[in-house]
Amino acid sequence: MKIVILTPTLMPHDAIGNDVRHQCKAINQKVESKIYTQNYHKDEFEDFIISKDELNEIIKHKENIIIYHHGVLWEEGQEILKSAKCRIFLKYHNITHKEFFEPYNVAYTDMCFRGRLQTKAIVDLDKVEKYICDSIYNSQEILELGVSKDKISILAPFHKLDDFLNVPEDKTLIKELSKTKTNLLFVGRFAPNKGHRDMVEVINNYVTYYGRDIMLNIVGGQDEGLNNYISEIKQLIADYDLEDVITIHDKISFPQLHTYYKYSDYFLLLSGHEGFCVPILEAQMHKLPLIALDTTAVAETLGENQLIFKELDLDKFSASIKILDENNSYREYLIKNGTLNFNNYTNQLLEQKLLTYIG
Amino acid sequence: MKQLNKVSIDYILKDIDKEIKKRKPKHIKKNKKIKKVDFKLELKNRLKSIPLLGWFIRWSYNLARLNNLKHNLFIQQQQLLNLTTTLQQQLNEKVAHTTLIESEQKVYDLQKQLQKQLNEKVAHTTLIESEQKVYDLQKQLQKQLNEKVAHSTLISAQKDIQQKLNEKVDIQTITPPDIESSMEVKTPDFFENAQKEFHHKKSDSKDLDKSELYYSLFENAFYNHKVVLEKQTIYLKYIPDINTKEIPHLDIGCGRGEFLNILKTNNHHSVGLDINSLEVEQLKKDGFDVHHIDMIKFLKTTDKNFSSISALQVIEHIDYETLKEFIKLSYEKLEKQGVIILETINPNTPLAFNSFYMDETHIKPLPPQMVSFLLQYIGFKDIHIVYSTPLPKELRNKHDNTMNYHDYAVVGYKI
Repeated sequence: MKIVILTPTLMPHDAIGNDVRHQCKAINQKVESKIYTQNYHKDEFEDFIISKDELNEIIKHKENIIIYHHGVLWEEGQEILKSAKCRIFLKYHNITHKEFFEPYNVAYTDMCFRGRLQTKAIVDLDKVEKYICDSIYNSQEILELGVSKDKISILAPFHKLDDFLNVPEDKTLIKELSKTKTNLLFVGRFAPNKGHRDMVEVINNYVTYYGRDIMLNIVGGQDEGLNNYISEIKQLIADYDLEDVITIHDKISFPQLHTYYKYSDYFLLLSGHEGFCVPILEAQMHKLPLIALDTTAVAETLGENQLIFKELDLDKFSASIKILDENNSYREYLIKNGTLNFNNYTNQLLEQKLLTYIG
Repeated sequence: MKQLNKVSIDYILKDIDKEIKKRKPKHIKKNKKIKKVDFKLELKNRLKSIPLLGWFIRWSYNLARLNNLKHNLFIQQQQLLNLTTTLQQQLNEKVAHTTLIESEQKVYDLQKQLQKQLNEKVAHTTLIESEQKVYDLQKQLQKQLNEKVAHSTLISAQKDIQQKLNEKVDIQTITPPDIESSMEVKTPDFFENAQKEFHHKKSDSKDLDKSELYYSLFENAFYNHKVVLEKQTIYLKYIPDINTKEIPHLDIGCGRGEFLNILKTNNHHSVGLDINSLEVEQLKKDGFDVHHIDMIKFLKTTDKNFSSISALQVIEHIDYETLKEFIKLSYEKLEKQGVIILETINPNTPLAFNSFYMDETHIKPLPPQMVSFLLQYIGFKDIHIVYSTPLPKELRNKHDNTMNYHDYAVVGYKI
């Protein structure tokens, strides 16, 4: 038996890419496993990547397995699934709803729209043996497409959190962060589903009641296709005169990211759509308490006994920062329970689960 | 400070609520409405103001964009070709029982929709409307049967339906055919056929506006005149009988005059507008009251009012600001009880995107809910979405019927 993992792209610093790489490594302990992708970055996984001809040979045989990672529209991928005679597993990472992108980018909107249609088209092929979903939230979407419950399992994506263990801290940044009483952090792609507008509103509320000794660092890759959105958020920050308390960072180094996580006070998470949220685990690993809004898969990723609000009540969010600042025991409580949650997601545990699915 | 073992989320939440109550109310800066920075639009407008060079840059940009979409277009083009061939075949055959089955399918779909609405506890008025729609469709079906189908054909068609029902054929469960790993399809001579249809040769058109000739030929290559004529008859029932020579129907973007023809045949007075001078000239020769003018300019300057206004396959060609202005002006120019019909490509089905991107003058696909909302915002009432041009059965979606039609129209009334 051979296993091929299918993904449209395999790039560094990408959650799906990290999942694919580790999955390939984990499966290889038991069965020969390869990766087929259209675009990839040359790294130590280059040797695992196979050509289309090799793929076509493998998928001819019914005892082999494809694990198809679905997180974006991929027409070639769908064609491969159609022609495959082997067993098919689908790893469902979710696709953002098109409505988030509609005001900003027609192409992204179209990609999201057709990506979601593709999920349905893949289900309609009726060839997928097992749907492995990143979260219960994702599994719900698959269920709604008419897939029976016994075909669905939950398995969080593999991550690279262990890389943080050996990374140095950025001393200049530590000094910079120490200048402000309260440092908030958000890490995630600069995209309309991530709730930047609401974060600005929370800070505006906080500043009105408690003063300006606060800083929100927004960290995350930006792309030109969303320039309108980025300009809109910057304009909002300027309109509220919050340039001194909110800073937007594009790409930063890994030691800087580690330092932000380690030396910030809270992680503010107001995202409107997450199929799974790796930054939650990154924050919990760094003993950083989270203040979050309950949407999509956020609550289940966050775990039990964490500070999460059902609704976006700006007063509650700003008051949370103040209350946590004044109560060390509250912070300790959130950190303790965050660590317990993080321990449920070690790559080792995820590997064991994955290998039982492969059989 | 509390002991850690006494802390719980409830404790924290209570303290947060206390803190909010304790706060003295303060004025919080309101979220100012942000002006959207539309770089593309600004650049486009600036380029428009540069003669020749601006046009050339815009043209090159469009060409580059087309290349980016080449891959998707190629795949979708194959699908469209298959779809067009199938549709053409079906229409040419005009077999009575096909029409019967399709109409019955529509009735069935509407009944299903009605049932769904009932389950969702939709208000009583909606129910009556839906029942009315079912009734209208049944009436239409009866009319079609009376007109088109001879009695014997009807009996045999009914037998066929009964047989198919007995066999419980579910078209959705038919296994898709096996296909080769690649497929080559020869492109038909679109250009040659278009020239024949439009009676213009590229060589005799040196003095004509090239962009207009190009578009006329394009239209004749990809939008079949007869098919358009047939499909637009569905809107006839929405046209009020009150129109006269003084208060006629206005058809915006009348193109080759398919809808004007339908209206004329049914004794309605109408006026047509189009920005393509070649097509306007042709329609004038055929005796239609048509004008070569931009719709906004016309609506702003005309002293006439209209009993109804249609814009079929037009709104996807204009930007959003123009769309809003157009709907606003239309509302002003409509008589009371007047109706507006806006037909466009249905973005609920991915198969429609091929047609959408085929036409380089298309700007943005418009979701039906968005157009409906816009009409409501301007003041139109009793808005209906009319889906049309059903996809072939083998391409239909089992769960969402709005995905099974290539086009839709939003119909609204000035009450």
